[in-house]
Amino acid sequence: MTNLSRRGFLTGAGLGLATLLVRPHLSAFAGPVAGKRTLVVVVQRGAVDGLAMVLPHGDPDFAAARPTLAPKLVAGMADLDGFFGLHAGLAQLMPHWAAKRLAIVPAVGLPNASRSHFAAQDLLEQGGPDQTSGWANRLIAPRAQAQAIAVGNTLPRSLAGTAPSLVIEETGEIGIARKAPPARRRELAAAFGDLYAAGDDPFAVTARRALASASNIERALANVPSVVGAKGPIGQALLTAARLIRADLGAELIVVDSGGWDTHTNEAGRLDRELGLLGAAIAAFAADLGDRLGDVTLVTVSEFGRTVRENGTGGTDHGTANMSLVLGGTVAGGRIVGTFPGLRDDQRFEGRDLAITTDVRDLLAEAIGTLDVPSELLRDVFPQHERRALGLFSA
Amino acid sequence: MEDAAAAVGLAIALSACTPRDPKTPVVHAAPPPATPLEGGATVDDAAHLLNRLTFGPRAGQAAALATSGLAPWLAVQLVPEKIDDAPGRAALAPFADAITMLDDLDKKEIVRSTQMSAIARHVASERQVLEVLVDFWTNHFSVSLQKGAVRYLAADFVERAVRPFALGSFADLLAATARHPAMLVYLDNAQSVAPPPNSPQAKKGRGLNENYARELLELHTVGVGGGYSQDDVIAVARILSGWSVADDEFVFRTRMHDTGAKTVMGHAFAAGGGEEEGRALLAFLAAHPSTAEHLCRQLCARLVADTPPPAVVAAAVAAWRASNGRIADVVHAIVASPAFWAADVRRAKIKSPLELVVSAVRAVDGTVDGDGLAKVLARMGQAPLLAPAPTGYADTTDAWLSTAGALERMDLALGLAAGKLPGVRVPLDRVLPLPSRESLPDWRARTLDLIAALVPGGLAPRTQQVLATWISRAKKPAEARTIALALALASPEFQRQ
Repeated sequence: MTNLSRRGFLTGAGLGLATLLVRPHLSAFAGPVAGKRTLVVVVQRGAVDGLAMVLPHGDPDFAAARPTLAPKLVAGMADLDGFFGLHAGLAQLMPHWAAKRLAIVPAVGLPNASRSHFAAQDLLEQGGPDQTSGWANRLIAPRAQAQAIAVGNTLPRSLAGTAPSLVIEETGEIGIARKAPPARRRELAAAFGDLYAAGDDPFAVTARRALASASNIERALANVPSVVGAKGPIGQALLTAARLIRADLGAELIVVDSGGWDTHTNEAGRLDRELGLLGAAIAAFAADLGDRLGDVTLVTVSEFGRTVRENGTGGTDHGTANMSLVLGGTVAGGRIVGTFPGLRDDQRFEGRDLAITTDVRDLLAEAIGTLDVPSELLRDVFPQHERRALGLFSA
Repeated sequence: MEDAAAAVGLAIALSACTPRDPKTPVVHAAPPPATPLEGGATVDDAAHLLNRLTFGPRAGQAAALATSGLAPWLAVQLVPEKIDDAPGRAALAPFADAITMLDDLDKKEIVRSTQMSAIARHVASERQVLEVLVDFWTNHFSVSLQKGAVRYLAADFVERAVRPFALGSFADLLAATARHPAMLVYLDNAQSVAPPPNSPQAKKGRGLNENYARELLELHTVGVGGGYSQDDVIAVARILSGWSVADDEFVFRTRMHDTGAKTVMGHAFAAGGGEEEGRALLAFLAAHPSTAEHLCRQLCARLVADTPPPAVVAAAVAAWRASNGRIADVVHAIVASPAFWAADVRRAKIKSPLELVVSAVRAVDGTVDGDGLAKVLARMGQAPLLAPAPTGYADTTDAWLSTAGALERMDLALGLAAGKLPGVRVPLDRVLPLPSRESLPDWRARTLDLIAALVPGGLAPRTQQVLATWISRAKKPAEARTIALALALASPEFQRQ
């Protein structure tokens, strides 16, 4: 496999499939890779109401813009600094705020994003306009030892491309025929293993690596049962992420999908539930990691924010900037990082939305900077973007 | 048919005078058939042709085609209206709502029906070369179901702007896509308003939108290196200002149109040209030599190799020029080129997810009766009409060779082989009958042969051995059939085309 790959590199294109660049990934999640730093990106699909997640209760325009919603949202909140408060559902993260492991970026977004969920998610996952591959793929694909795992049902577009990425279900199931009984799964894995066992056909090489990786991950996870419980899909997903980290598989990036945030109606009740699950999930993730949290950064992002004003059905509509939570051992936390632009009419974007003050690419780039990644690679991960330092992490 | 025959003759004549790659040996007078198209085709030749010009052969089709000859088949396929396509029409029935009853469907149903109407016809249509070209051009003129009203317009875009011209004149195809509301909305030309003083309607916050103009040059016609500048992009946007949409149809809005004089790539458009100058621009771009080069290279990348041999691109360009961009002629010239038949391009491309899914369903004679395949393709990263950028989906092997994708391909094979893939009916007992009177060893041997025959070009000896092992290891014939068929459909050989 390595020889073929080397030959592929040397001869380049023009000889058909035999010379395709199959990169020499020597360890197919073979582990253990002790102490590897990991970035976990939680994508809140559907656009979470950041102003409910992190409540700007000290801004008089908040209550004014949300006369019926604001009182419900602030009930039970945990005050952060007299101006912002964490939604009651996230209150269990207060110990991390107090220990300066949790920071909040208050107006994050991608300039010129659409207010269409899918278009804005595409833009976020591609890491900017005019990109045909995902930002995470551009981070992983060029480096032989780098690996990424997506937690959810589908490989997200951020990882689409040639990077050796795998999808694992929230429950930790991975590999082929996931619905089949264990004995049948073992039999099928053996059969496909035979099919791809030999030869340097590029698909066989890829498939062989995929099966081996899935089986390595499955086996390694069995050795690291979770030490805490989890509720809901996001709870399961983040516990699976924590176990993947503790299993020392060498995954540098874990992308976690989280849905259910598109709150056009009855937002207060829905967010009580969803943010409660998210808060519990992140708290359990940190608890499960224990000391390993020192090697980990978790960032939440969403395709756009929601309107400052509440709508007529107890919810909010598609907006612009959002809030991001950043948790981790090297986070210089316990503070708001970045500028909050204010909620007054003339401070809003187009008179309706929280305006962007931090480009989400700067947030992600700084989080990627905590990994062992050559800094010049960031130019390819977020091309045509002039980076700005945020100072999120302790030096 | 006469037209097609004339076109065939012309294309053959043209390819004969194509400049040769210096490495190609010179063919002397009275040669044997230069390509299998002209006679003497083997089953492997037929399989190669079907791999590239269709969504994959049905069981036994390659052998039959090798016997009956390739040229007559191709000549008919290139005039698709001569083929009565009852299967294609029938396949559309379950999803016809996407085209006729949009108002009654919710958003998800519209997306799924639109996607499935494309997939189901790729599977079932007898007009297979047309289907391949419809897919090629739909991806070339990519629109996305994610963008606002495009959701309601995309099925009509494929039906009225792409399908009728997919093997016809490129100038007609370009003009039809340019005027279709799906494209006008997708690339924002519908909102493009000329700046003052040349237009009376320069409202606050509105102005020229260059999005379509740029993609028209960069993607749809002359290509990145085609010789245009940013000034040309602006001139194109000014010419097309006023091309807009009303009531889901094209409308030319005089008040939004830039009435001044423009120049595009050295070609002058006098002031006051109105809607007509837009048509003239599209005709100019369609006929531009850079367009022929750009699109012939892309067609050859799809039909021949990711990096196509220069000889086949040259043959395609010559046919394009000689026919003023008649796509059927270009396709014929590509197939008539000896480079198309070279050993090193056969099975040199990995199938895209769409090509894999459709070819697998065709190989087992499956029928589409639900929207499961749209979900499978979404998981594989190639949901129809949902490409994330106007570039459409990549058509190269490296874009589709991924670890996550490999596991999806195994699951697809397992689902089809077990007859359990949602939305697809597979007549397993007809394609691979269970043993009746014959002995179990005889049945195993016959089943192995039948399964190997489903893979164009056959299975490598080692793969056959793996199948044989697992067939004999299974406790019941039905289990043996499932595992062997799954292994064949997931084999490296079946991933190639």
